[in-house]
Amino acid sequence: MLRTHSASIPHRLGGARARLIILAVGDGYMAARYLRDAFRGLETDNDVQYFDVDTNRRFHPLSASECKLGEYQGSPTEVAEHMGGVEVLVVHGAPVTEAVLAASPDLRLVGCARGGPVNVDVDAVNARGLPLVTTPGKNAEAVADQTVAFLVMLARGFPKAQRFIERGGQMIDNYAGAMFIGSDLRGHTLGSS
Amino acid sequence: VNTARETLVDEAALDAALGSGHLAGAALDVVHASTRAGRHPLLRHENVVIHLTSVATPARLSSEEPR
Repeated sequence: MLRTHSASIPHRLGGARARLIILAVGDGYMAARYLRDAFRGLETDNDVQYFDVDTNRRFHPLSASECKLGEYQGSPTEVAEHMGGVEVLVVHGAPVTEAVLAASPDLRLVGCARGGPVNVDVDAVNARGLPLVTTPGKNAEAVADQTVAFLVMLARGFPKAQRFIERGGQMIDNYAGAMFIGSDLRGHTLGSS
Repeated sequence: VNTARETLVDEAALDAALGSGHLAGAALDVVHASTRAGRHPLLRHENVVIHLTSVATPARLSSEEPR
């Protein structure tokens, strides 16, 4: 499900590639079990750890890094607590702040499993020279589905009909349904004309 | 139809356009985080549907404590 840009992680100098310590952080929107489905193939040759942020754990954004984040779930302190030795950090909506990055001197790659990494302090990641990978278009098909559903619902008067039924409205006969028929999509212009 | 971000829509203007009949209907996957509880004001229009799939609205994802 996760499609990431290919990112080359430099091998350590000399010798075979060592096992990477990978931390995958889930949240209320994308639970760690989904990340696990995606990363299972990595578990043979790497140490992959998973956890879900405590969605009830709250904090006041105080540091400049924390205040940059527009949207996140969980506490950066909780993420930082799991960062010991981590070389690859993957989140979805969990906050990635300067304090999180600082919690592992071994960190070499940050991944954010969403189109826009709004929960990541991108400047702080860049300042450390770390690559940041995201998943553009992750939800493109879902959004397309939703858009088509909305078009049909509006053209066909779904909201009006539902309000009528919710209010306890009753039809006199089948012909009364004409008020909810709406219109065909065929022949209409999609977008502005 | 807005299946993108709530910041793309001026909800007051949308409300007015629906009220005047300039717009036949609206479907929103994201709305601005409301400070008020209860039914969303835009739902007073018969031809509005709201679905909250998106993770975008701060009220849903933010863990900030109310000050």
